[in-house]
Amino acid sequence: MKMNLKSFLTSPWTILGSIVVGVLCGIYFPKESIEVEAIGSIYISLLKVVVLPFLLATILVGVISLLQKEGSANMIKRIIIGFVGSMFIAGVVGVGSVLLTGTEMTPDKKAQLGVLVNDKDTGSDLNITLKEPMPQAVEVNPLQMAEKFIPENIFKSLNLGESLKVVIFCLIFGIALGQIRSSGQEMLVDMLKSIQQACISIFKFLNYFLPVALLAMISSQVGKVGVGIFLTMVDFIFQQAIGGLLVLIIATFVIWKRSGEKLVEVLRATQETLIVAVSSRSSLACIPYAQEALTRLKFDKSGVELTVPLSFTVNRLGSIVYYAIATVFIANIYDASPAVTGLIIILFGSILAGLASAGTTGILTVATVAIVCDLLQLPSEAVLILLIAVDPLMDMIRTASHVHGNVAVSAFVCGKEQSNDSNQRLST
Amino acid sequence: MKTLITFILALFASLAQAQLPNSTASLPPDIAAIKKKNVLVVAMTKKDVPPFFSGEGADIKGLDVEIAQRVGIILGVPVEFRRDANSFAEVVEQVRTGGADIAVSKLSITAPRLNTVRFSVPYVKLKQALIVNRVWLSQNSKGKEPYEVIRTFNGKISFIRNSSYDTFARANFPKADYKPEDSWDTIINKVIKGDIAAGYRDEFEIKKISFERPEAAINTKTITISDSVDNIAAAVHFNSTHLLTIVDFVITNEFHNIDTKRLMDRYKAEKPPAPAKK
Repeated sequence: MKMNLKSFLTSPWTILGSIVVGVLCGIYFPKESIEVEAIGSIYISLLKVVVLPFLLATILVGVISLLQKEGSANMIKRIIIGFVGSMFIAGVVGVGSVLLTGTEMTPDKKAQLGVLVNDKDTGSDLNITLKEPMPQAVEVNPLQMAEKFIPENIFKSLNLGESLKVVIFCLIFGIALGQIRSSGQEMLVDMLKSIQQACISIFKFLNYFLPVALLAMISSQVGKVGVGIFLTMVDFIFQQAIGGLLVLIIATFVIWKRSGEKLVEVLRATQETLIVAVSSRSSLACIPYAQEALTRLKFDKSGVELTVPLSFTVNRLGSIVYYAIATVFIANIYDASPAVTGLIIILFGSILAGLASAGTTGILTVATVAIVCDLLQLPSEAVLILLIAVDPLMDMIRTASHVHGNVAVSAFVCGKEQSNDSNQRLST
Repeated sequence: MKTLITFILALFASLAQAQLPNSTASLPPDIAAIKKKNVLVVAMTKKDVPPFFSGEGADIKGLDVEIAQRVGIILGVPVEFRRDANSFAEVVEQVRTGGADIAVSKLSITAPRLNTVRFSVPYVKLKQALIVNRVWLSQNSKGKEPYEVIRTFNGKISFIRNSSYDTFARANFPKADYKPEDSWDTIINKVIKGDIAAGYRDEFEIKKISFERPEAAINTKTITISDSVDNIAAAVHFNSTHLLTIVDFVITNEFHNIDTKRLMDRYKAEKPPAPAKK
C-alpha cells in the first residue's frame, strides 16, 4: 500500500489533476482558497531551504572536478557557444511565435484591457512640480551595476537568496580550490558531495507533498486574481504558450540527438524536471532534477554538475522568449506593430533584457520588459500592470522553457559519460 | 398745538419707518439694490458641470447651487439662475456688466479676472492636472524624466476655450502648441487617439476620467501638478463689497474643506454608476 501511495503522489497525472482541481477551487471557492495560501508558501520555503546549500555544493564540486580533468578549455568554449547560440534561438522563437499566431488587437479588446488597467492601477497618477524642485532620481552609475555581480559576503548572499552572487562565488572559490592538491581538499570535496546527497534526498521527500502544495498554491492564486483577467489576456497567454511549446520541442530534439538514447527515454528522464519547474516556478529548485535527468541519460557527470547550475542562473532563455512576445503584444496595443527592423530590435533587445534579468524573480523579471520597450519607444507602464497580474501562469511557462532549454544547452556542452580513461578528449 | 402734534407724529412715523426691516434707508447699496428688485441673479454657464451645478428649473442641483441658495436665504430674496453664458469668460462678463449679481459657476481665480471682478474666498482648492497620451510621452521623453518632459512641454495641448486653463496653459507651457476646444469630451477622445498630446484641466475632472472612461487608462496617463493652484471661488461686481462679505460668510461656515474626495463622493451620489464593462 505504501508503495502505491508514493507512486500516486509523484505521478504526473496526479500533478496535472491537482493543478486542475486548484484552478476550479480558486474559481468556485475564492475565499477559502486564499486562506490556504500559507500551505503553498511553506512548501516553497522548505524547497528553498535546500536549494542554496545544494547549489553551493554542486557548483563547487563541478568546478573542481572540471579543473582536474583535461579539456576544460574546450568545455568553456562550448559553454560560451551554447549560451550565446541558445539565447539567439530563444529570441528567434519568441519573435517567431508571435508571427505564427499573429492576433488582431481590436478596439473592443483594447477597451477591455484599458478597463482592467484602470481597475488594478489604484490612483497612482504621477505627481510632478512645475517650479518647485522635484526629488532627484538617484543617478545610476554603470559601474554600480557591476556591484550586482560581486559576492562581497557569501553568507549574506546565501541568507538573502542571491543566487547569482552564490554562483559567482562558487566559480571563484571552486577554481581556487581546484588548484589545491591535498588530502584536505579531497575531504572537502567528499563533504560537499555528502551535502549534495543530503539535499537530493530532502528534495525527494518533499516531492511527495507536491500535489497538496500545488493545489493550495494554484487555488489561492486563482482565488486572488480571479479568472476574468485571464480570459481577457487569453491572446497573450496563447502566444506565450506557443512560444514555450516551441522551446520545449526544440530542446527535446537537441537532448535526444545529443544523448543518442531513445526518444521515450529522453521524455521519461526529463518529465520530472518539467513538473517541478511548472509547480515550483523556481528554476533553482529544478537543478537537482535536471542533473539527475542528464546523468540518467549518461551525460558526463562533472560537466553536468557545472553547466546546469551555471546555465540555469545566467542563461535566461525563458525570459528572452517572454520579453519578445510581451513587447510585440504591447506594440500591438499601441498600434505600433513592428516591421522587420522592429522585430530585429526586439530580438536583440530581448536577449539584452534576458541578460539583465539574471538574478531577478517575479515582478522584477516582468518589469525588465521595459528595456525592450524603451528601445522601441513604447510605453510599458500601463500594460505592465496586466502582465504582473497574469504572471503566476506566465511564470510557469517561462520556468518550464527556461529549465528545459538549459537542459538542452547542458546536453550540448557536455559529452557523454567517459570511460575510466580521464585523458580522453570530450566527445564532440 | 396742532402743528406740534403733527410734527411729533411725523417724527415717530419716520423713526418707526426706520426700524422696519423692509426699509432700505441704511442698507449697503449693493444689498439694497438686490432687495429692491427682490431677486438674486446667479450667473452660471449653459453647460452642466456636475457636481457643481446641473439640471434645469426646479431640478437644478449642485454645490454652487447650494451656495447661491444659502446667500439668497440670508438676503431674504428668491434666487434666479441665469444660464445663458456660453463660456466661463462670459459668466464673469455678466457679473462685470451687472447682468448678474453673483457668479457661482466653478470659476477659477485667474489674473485677468482679478482685474475686473471681486472674488470670494475659495470654496474648493484644486490642483491643475494633465491627461497625457502615453505613446507621445514615451516617444518624446528621450531619456528625460516625465517631469522634465512636462516642464518643457512642446506638444499639442488642449483646454476648454475661454476657460481659466486657457490662461494657465499660456502661462505655464510657453513652448506648447495651443489647441482650444469647446468640449471636454472631444479633448479626452483626441488625447486617447493621440491627435493631441495632453488635455489640461483641474485634478477633479482628470480623476473623473478614470471613473467615466476606464478604458482610457491604457492609452493615457494622468499627471497632477502638485505645486499648482486652481482656486474655485464666487465672483461679484467690484462694487458689491457687502454682498461679498455675505458670500464669504456662507463659504467659511458651510463650504470649507471641500476636497477632491468630497467632490467625487457628491459626484457619484448624483450620477448613477457607469455600466460596468465585463
